[in-house]
Amino acid sequence: MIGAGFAAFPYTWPGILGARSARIIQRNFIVQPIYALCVVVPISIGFVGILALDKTAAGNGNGTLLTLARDAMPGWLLGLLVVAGIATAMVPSGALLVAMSSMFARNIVQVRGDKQQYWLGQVMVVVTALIALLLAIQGSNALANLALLTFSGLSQLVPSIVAALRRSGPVIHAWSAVAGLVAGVAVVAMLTFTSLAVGTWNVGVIGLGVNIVVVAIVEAVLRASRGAPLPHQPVSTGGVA
Amino acid sequence: MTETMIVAIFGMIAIGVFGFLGRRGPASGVAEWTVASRKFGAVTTFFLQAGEVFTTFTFLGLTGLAYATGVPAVYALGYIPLQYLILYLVAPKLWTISRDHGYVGQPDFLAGQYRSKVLGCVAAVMGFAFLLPYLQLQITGLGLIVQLATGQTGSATLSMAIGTLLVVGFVMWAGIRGVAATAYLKDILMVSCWPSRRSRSSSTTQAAWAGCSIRSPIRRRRCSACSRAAMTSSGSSPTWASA
Repeated sequence: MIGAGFAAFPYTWPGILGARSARIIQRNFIVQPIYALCVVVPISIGFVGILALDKTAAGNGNGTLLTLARDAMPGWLLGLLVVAGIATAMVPSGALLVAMSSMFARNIVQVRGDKQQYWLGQVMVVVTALIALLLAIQGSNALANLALLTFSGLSQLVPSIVAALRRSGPVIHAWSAVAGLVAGVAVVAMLTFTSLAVGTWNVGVIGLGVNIVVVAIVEAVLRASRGAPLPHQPVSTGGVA
Repeated sequence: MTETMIVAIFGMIAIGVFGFLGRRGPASGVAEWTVASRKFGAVTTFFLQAGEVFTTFTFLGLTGLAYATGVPAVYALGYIPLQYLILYLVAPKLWTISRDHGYVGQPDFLAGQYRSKVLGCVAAVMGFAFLLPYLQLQITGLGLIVQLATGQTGSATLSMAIGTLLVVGFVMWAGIRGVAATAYLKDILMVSCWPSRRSRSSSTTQAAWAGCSIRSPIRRRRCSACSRAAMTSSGSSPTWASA
């Protein structure tokens, strides 16, 4: 939850940055919670499942909705329901591909030039999607461990993002951010895979704690030797990458 | 080929076509392709957000969770608005800084703000590595929905392949505008899905529906819930609830 609140998930960024003004984004997050009330519905369907489904036949519960729907609907209508379901898989897939391929071209390979980045991005859309498709078709568990880390791991980006929210530049050094990030992810991975007893604590939160402590230590050392990070020079406004 | 499968395939193609239509002129620059040159209005922003943040992430397996654990699932009602409260404060800052410096994504933001390509690269590698299984999960979920609905095992592979190829197509052609266009269609589909269904409940489930149905348009969310429900049954269980 903390991760989502502080935009730690890269695939939500194009949607936010694509808006015409900051005002639009602000209004958007006023209206979204009303839409969020809709979560009542899947929860209710789950409750319906408890009443209506044969416990032994229904398995782990994730098929609850479709099991109910298959009994209740004619074929064409079930088809429409399926299409709506497919859409909720295709829309985020698209957003994921946009974010992943652009970050690959701009921040991992770091090719120079807008055109070159654009074309490498196009290639990466195909490559990334094909990898994911092949893994999905094989029912591969190759990435299962990574999947366990997706949310708690990405949440480790929160301190770096928060510290960089000042317009004139971040309040900490880059190396403090890198050290905190690496430490946070390492802790999350360790706790996830060694099944160390952590009580009811969420591993992402523990990771964040370690993350912030490491940032503070490295930052203290850096400030002692180099001083506080310098603010950026004023920039011209309205620039588009 | 059952009726359901035929409708599903045509529907998928319709989604793809919608995505292709999202394009506004040749999008040959990174800024146009990833953030639509920062020109989205309020309505598009709303649907895009609702489409990508809300549906997959917070809904993941909520039906299954309610089915398996009962009332604890209701706490989702509290934490979603809470996360929007934080975003209300944070997102406009992100937007303003990103516009001023021309950032088009999260690692871009970090690399630029910290003047550190290393940090940008670390963040991007992390993002890429952690999101790839998430993408796989979406595709697996898509296949599972079709398979559960049609009852044919072969249908999953076919639909996953068609779905992925269509997404690749419209993302390459129209970038984020394509995603926005499909987000529109998705909500239209959900709206059109709900009213006709109420009259058709079979006797087995009718009593149960009557017991806890909510007589309001939000019933339409049933449609989207199926993907979320299906997604979690693919083997991994992300800790989406409280991180």
